[in-house]
Amino acid sequence: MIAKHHNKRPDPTAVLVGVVLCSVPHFLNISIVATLICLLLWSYQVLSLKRSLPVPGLLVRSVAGTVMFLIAVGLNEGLTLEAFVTLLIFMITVKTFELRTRRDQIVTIILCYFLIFSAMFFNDSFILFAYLLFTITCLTAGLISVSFAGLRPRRTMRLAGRLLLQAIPFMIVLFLFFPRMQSGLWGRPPVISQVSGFTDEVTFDSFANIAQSGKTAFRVTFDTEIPQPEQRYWRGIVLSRFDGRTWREDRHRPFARGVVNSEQEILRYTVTLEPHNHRTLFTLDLPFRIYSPRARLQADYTYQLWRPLSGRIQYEARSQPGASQRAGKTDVTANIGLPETGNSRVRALASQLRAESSSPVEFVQRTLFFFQNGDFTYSLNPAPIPADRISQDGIDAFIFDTREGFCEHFASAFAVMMRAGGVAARLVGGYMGGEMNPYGDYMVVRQSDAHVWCEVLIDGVWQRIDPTVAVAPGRALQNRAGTEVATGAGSLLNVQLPAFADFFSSFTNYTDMLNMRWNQWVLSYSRANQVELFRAIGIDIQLPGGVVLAVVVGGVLLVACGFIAIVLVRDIRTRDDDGATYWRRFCAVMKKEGLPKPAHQGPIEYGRDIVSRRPDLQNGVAKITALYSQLRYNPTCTEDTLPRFIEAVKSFRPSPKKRQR
Amino acid sequence: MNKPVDVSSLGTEPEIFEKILDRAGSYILGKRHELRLALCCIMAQGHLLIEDIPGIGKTTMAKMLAHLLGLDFQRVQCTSDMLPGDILGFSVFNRESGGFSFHPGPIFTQILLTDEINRTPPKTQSALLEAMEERQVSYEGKTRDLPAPFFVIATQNPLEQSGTYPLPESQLDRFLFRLELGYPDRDAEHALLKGGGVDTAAAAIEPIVSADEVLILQQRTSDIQVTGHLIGYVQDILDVTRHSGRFVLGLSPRAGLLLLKAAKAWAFLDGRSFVLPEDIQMVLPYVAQHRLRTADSHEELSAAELAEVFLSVPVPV
Repeated sequence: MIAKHHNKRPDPTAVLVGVVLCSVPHFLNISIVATLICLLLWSYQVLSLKRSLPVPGLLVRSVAGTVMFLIAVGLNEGLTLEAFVTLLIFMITVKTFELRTRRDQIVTIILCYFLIFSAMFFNDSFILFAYLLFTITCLTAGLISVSFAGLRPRRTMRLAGRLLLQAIPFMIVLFLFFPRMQSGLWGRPPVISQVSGFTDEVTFDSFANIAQSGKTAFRVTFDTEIPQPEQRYWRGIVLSRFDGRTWREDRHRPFARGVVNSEQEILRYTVTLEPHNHRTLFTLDLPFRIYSPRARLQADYTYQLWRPLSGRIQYEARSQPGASQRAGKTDVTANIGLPETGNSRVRALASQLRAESSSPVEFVQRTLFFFQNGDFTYSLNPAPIPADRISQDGIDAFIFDTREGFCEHFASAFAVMMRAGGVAARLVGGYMGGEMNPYGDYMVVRQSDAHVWCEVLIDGVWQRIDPTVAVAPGRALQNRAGTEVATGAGSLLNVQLPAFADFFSSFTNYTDMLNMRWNQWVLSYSRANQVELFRAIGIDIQLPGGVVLAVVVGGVLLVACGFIAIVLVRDIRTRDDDGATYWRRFCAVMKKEGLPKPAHQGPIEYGRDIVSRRPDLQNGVAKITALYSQLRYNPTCTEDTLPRFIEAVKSFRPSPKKRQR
Repeated sequence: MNKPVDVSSLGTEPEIFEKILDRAGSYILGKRHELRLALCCIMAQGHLLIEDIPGIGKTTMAKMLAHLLGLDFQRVQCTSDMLPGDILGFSVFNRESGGFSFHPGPIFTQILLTDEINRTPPKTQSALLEAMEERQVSYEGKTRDLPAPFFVIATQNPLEQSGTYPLPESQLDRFLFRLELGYPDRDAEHALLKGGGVDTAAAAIEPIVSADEVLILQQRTSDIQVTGHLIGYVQDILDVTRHSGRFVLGLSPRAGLLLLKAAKAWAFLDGRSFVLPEDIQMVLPYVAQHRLRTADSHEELSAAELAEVFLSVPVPV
């Protein structure tokens, strides 16, 4: 208080708290240097709350601002969204150094609303949304406390919460009625920094392709029964061209000749794919139909979009496990070639194995047998292959020396051996696995499930062979807890505590389910859904007349929301107890009689005031005020006080003929 | 306090208080409200500061209360050459015992009237005020308890400023109430001048209650109930003084506690076992006025201005 007297600067605590709360979700998006700068500046602010530290002058602030702009741009490869957000955080943080007046505080808090809103560009999970609501409540409470100094924090929070509650009906109406843009109102910019386990080419012995991230790649709901774990191969892309180290897609493919059906049941399912910046769509091996106008079937029975996927997409598909694809005209020639030189030992080995086999099938079996019994180890951290051998003799080095690797090693090596032995072979990239979420009836496939396997052409039909499983059967059949891959959100779960692991796994499952529902019911609300919704209430918004009608209905609903908001206020205010409700009723009656209760008056004094102006009401008023003061202020009042009080208020009627005007 | 005291024969509490006030009112005419506040102050175990001109009846009032409540009474006229020993007592060498023996000062009484407290230097003031707060006297390393109940009525003359030592805010905070007696109204003065108030016969007044009974009544006062609603109301009042920006310093938590105590005593005087918001509003000006200074001029607010501040605090429903 003394300090306040000497220094008229308003208390910046509320604003600082708001700034920190809004910036925290951005720490994942902005660079670590920017985060450190912010933390440094905030610490300075917090310290200066305790003791007075020098406030930097205008020159320092201007120079610092310019430097920060350059940092923001420099750290983020130009004027990207990240750069703008970094800049916004910097500007708000610098602004907290000049909170001289109440207006400065208000401006800063309002900027914070923009900041928290921009978090939506990076992440649209349910958890972020919940955090957003919390932060908005805090910011609103901050605004209230700036405007009405002296209110206790609890009261400002309650008030802010109430305002938010009032806003919710408006939010729902606007959400349902506001025209849906196909790409969002501002066109959501592509998010580049998505962690993805999937790539559209496979480079032998390259670490970049392993994602140990537990992030969700896609979710699947099955209309039919759920496939067995060993059938959960999610086909994404087919790689045919091999240059000695890297497998790439073959862009000139003739159309497939159809499918050899298996005996198994056809599965119907819906995939919700997270954005991954590739054109690939994932379907259960082997797909034969996909219901999406944006997808097209490729010759090798994969589906692709026309453009890289920058937003979440949902599609229904049908697959038949065990079905296989017939080879196209040029499939053999396109999938048999190897570089002229290199990997000579593997070639020799393959030729030897082929010579010992009487048929391609036997050759495949012998090769698999070789992998099974050749002392190979499955490892996500294999011993590196020497750099001088990697481009020419990488496969040689793997098979004869290191013998440690993961799916890419095994699949590449296997395919190379097949080709060397004269059997057409190719790689298929996608995911393998997926686990059912116990809280919602759907399957989650994570980035860490990314996988590569082989297909070999035998008797004109492509057959799926997974050499990784031959080496490490556990990779396919064990559940995730048994593998080295992280199960959930980041490194926290790598802690080897079984009790915690259980807890976290159910926690991540539960939040994933919430996100799923959130995506399903809120985020996927599209123009088509909107049209359908309006059709259900008899309005066709694809016609101009329908649009007008929709606007009118929306307007009426908004007005209704206004009323709800008012009612909600009254409702919250009177929800304390019956005593208060009836006391308010009595006060309202007296107000109609021209004798409103001044806020500062206690009940007895009010009663006396009334009686001095309206002696005819003496009996009723004295009884009511006495009972009310007993009820409210005497903790040991008898139990019948409340009913007697309610009765007294109910039967209280100021007689209209004596009414004084 | 060892012997059990039967108060049931006294009738219900408001009756006792009415009796006391009636009797006192027959000597101090037209000051029933102030007498009641003084009684309230005693029941709340607080001390009273009366700020008024001489000849208004301060001493009479103090004496009257002492007699009616069956309490010892001492009076100290403060002067600028007074030392703490003049109030607390002092040690004298005793030749027979060969040591010092303590001669208690006037403070060892139950009702102490200190006239013109602002004329005595700060050293003596603080000795007195310390004893008021602790209800004990520490002298030469020995602590001596003051008799119970212990109640100080201090007076100060607001007009004479030269040669005075105004009490600082921290000392003012130790007085529960500060009130002004003011001139009697016309009728009361008429009766007074006709010879209605008898001052000289004060010694002959029969006590209505005893000292032990006063202690019991004080105990009962602290048992008066206060609901959470009202505590919230008191907090709102404290908040206004702290955060409205009108005052240099808001009311302290001690002031809040004293305010509740005084409100309880006022309710008790009214014969209620619980506190109403009206009780708080009634005692609030007497508790708050001498504790608050305006932020811009560092002066006290007038009673009307103060009332305006507190009118902005709504009574919780």
